[in-house]
Amino acid sequence: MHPLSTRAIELYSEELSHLNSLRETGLRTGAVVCRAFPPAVLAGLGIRPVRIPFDVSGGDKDTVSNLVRQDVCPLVRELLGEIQSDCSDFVVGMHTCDMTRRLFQESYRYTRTTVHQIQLPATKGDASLRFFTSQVDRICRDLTGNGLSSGYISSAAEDWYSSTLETAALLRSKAHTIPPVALQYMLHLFRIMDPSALKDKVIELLGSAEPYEPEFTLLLTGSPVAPGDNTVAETVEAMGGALIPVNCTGFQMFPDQTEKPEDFSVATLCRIYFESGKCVRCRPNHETFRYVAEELSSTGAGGLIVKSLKFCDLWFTEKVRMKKAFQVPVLVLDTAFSTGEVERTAVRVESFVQSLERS
Amino acid sequence: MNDPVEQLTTGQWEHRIKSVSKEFFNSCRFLRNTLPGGVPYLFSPYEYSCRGDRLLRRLKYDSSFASLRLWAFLFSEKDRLFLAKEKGSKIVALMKDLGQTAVISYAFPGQLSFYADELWWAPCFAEETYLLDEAAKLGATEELCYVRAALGAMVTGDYFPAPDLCIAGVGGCCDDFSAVMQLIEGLGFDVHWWEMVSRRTKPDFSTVESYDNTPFGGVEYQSIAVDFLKEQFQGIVKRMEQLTGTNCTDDMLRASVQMFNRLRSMVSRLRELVYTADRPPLPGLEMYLAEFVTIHTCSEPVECFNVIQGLLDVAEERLKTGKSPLKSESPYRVYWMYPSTDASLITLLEDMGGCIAGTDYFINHSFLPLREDTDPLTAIAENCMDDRLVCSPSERIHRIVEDVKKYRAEGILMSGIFGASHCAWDASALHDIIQDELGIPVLVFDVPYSPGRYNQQVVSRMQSFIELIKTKRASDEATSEVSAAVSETDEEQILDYFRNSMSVEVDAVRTMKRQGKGVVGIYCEYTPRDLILAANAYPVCLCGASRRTIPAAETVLPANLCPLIKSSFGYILTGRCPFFMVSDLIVAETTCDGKKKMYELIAGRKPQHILELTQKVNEEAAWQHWFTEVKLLKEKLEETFGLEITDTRLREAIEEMNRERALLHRAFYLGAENPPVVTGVELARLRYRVSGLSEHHRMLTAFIEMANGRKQSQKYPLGNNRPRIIVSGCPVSEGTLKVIELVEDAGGVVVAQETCSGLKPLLPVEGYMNADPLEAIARKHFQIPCSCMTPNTGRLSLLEKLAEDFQASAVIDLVWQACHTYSIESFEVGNYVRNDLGLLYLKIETDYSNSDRERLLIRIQTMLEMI
Repeated sequence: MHPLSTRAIELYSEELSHLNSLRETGLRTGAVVCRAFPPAVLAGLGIRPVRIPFDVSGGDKDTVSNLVRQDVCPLVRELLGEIQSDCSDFVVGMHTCDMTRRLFQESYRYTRTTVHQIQLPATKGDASLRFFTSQVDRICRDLTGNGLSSGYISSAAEDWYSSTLETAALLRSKAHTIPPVALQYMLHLFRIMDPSALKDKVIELLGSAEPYEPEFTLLLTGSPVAPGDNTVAETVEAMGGALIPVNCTGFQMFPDQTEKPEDFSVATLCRIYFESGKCVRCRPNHETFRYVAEELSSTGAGGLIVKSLKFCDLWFTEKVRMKKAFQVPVLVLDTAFSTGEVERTAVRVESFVQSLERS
Repeated sequence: MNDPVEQLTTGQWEHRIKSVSKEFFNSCRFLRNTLPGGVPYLFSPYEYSCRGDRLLRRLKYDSSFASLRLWAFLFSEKDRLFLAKEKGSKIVALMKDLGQTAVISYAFPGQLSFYADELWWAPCFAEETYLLDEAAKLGATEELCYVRAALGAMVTGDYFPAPDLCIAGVGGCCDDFSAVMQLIEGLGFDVHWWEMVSRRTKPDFSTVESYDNTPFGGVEYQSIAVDFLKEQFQGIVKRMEQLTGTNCTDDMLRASVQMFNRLRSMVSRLRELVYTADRPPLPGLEMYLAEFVTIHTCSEPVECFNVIQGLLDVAEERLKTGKSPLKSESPYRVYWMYPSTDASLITLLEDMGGCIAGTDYFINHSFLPLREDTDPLTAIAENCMDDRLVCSPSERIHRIVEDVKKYRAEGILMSGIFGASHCAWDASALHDIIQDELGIPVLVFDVPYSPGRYNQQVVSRMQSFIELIKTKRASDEATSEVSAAVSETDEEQILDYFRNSMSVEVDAVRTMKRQGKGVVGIYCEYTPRDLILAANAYPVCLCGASRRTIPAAETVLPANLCPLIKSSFGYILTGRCPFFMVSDLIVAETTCDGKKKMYELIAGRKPQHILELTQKVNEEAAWQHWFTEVKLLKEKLEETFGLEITDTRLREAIEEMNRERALLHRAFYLGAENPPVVTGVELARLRYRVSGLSEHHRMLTAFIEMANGRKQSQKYPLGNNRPRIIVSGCPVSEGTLKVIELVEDAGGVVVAQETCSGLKPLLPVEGYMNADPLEAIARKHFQIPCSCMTPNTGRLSLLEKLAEDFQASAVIDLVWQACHTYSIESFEVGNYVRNDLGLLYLKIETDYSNSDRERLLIRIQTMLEMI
């Protein structure tokens, strides 16, 4: 593995420990699951936003197995494990699919962590945006009413939002020259770090190693990628390639808007994050295809990997359309978080890359 | 009425249809408003089966003409849709909401709406996968439920004409539908998406949000939901206006609401009549169809009324005359969850002596009325909140509990749908809540696709399920007798005591510690408890019966070790064993290599004494060494607790332990009663962990009295004709009883355990009054016929005795995975049981997980069938 990748993994681990130690000293955190919830809103409330820091070994797997059947998607199983283990002061339980909906609806049976439920509309449009915004607003008022926040400060939200976009832009500009595993972990760091501190870390990290010169570039889309779920990135890295993730744990995590918004109210942030969602779950989901096509074009990627998680109907059902929609070869992977999957996935990625070389 | 009341095959209907009057035949017509005079549709099931729905030939049908009309009405929907399209009507495909958008679409003239979702049952009725194959080509493969057949039907155009508009619900409903609909849109069909809302109830921390209750379902919901849904419905109204070229007025919507209300009230009445009756006046299959037909009128509102009214008339008439098409005089009442993709399973249930007593096919909200005193879209939105798909699985189950009580169901059957993502969550909630609140049998399985035949695994499971209901009913009837020696409440208290004895023991051990008494942790029956009691300490069997501690143990121990050792070690590693924490000493015997080496890993955590067990049971030198080891243990105990263990103390302790062993022995020998007065699970739960507790002795006595009471009043908890099974081999306890549970689920009864957790260690200490009591203790324990001994002929002798005493039919040899001694010994035990005892023998090698329960159940069922 490239030294930068090794260091990025270490850094993620260090920052996770750091976050936990900060919690012990009184830092309040609010965990979100989906990129659609604007983290800056929580920052504006004086609460540290984190995306639930699950990883492929998180939670008590045996306990989770007793609670839900094996045909629940691995991501949701990990989330259940994390929620049980007091990962945050509260959780924003966003319903993004059947599985997350069931998880958060049933979470009271499994954990004492407070879960604020919110339904992310699959349809776009004014009514859906209003519905979404009103739910975020309700959560903000509940957090304030429950004494977890002393009120919304828009400058704090602005700081968080601006730093996020700056750091994301920096990372995006260097993405081609960052080894895949390192890039994946630098993106994971957005889950748990203050983005302004992260920017310094990214600069430091990038300065600590020779630029990576990939022999080819691939684009990655599909279900979220968890820390520890490194097989695809490791394989591409071992074969000397670059891998640009544009899924919701990749660059799609960030809103499109590059110009400064008119204000940093809850409503504005909701609109920015809601409208910039390009998840395959959207109905209709033409935007997902358009976005991937645009990214393929702008990155010059020679191939696309669609990495779906097992039992994720929303991504895996699109496998045929994804293969037909783009001008580049497409590899669809149906993956789990089990170690038994590693070899099979690695071999498929290797074969895919080799077939690209031959063509 | 002299018409026969029975269930008919397709062949029998071929004869019976000849007696249909011309008048009735002519009255069965559809599209009366579109085509002059309408189109007759009353054909026999056989005729429809010839058009491709082959499953029809395997079903049984109610013999009434009203039911024939229902079947024909449903299977002629395809004809209606194609004819209507040809005549210029617009065709609207509705997806997912199951009962709400139809109220809007039928407000518009010049269109026919149908639920494309219902194509999910087409592959099963056709016994043909081509719709699924077509869907798979487009990406909708087996990870989706059978609703993907709708995609296949859109492509082939075989089941309905190309819709002019699809109205698809998304959001708080089901991703499978949404994913399929997205692929349909990708094919170029016009899809109007609308967002369904997940229902929430008010959480404790809520400060600002307002909540309301639905007017008829009475469920709480966030008020914002109805406002949002109204906007969504306004969007649907607009699209329908564009499609039909008709401006929608409030009156048009109201008229549709009134029409659906009339239909809903008819079906509600029908459900009440049928599901509350002791003997249902209509079979489950006809009810299944009637419920589904109602939610969307099967593309023909006018004729739908006639069909449902006909069924109502039949049901009322039969109830008056006490007639039922079911043969059983007192059918076993089953609540059915989820629509079965294989309709023949409902017939199968009735053939087994069951009947449907209540259903939740996810459409129950569509049997509730819509408010007529508010604007129609608000009324429909409120009704959406009653949809059991938009609430949490737990809430759904709680509502099912109410249904079950209302319909007096004796069991719940959940026929899950392969690939349906919500089933995975419902199963978990169902088990937990039903067990807590109702305590009735629950059967959960995903219905396999088995064209042309029943899946034998499903048949076996349904048989066992009915058998369980039958047993429970017999038990309930017996316990209702006021003359019973022990009341049901007392029984429950006694059984609960042993089920939860660990909590009693944790408190007791803490009290002992406070009183200055010693606690000695042990793992094995070779450890003489008598000796520990003589040291004024209490022997406590340490925890090792949970699969939950195994993953932690496997971070240190190899995975291919027996689960008992891994679990024991995991308990210590994770600090979860409350007894280990308070033990003054751990006595670690060397029965097997795995335990021996595990003890090395826990040696630093507590004072430990290794008790070396010699294993040549017939050799004097081995005995002498063992006796020396017991003496060393005595010295260790004296040193630890600072006292001398005198002969007098030893004799007192032996007497106390002998009393305890005798009580347990008596309790375990209750299994010898024929018919059995106790279950194997009840007996297995008697094995508590702390010896010498007077409360345990009192409750054991109560248990024995309870069982004797059952005998006197002939209350046999599992009936009186079950195969009698001995479980031999590795020990079990609460948390690892799966094999015993499975035997009894499958229709057998475990009468005895030839294990350390059963009768094996319960011989008394003898000859201690006039001889050395320590030697008597050592001899008693040296005789335990564990597989670690060589040769272990004592086990065969014990099996022979138990087989005779307990009138056993078979022996199941339970081997925990990687327990080499029991596993190897199985060869000889198997030969002995088969050849010398002449009994059936089954070796089961398993671990603590539940992953192989289904596989084991099948193996056990197969063995029981051979008895």
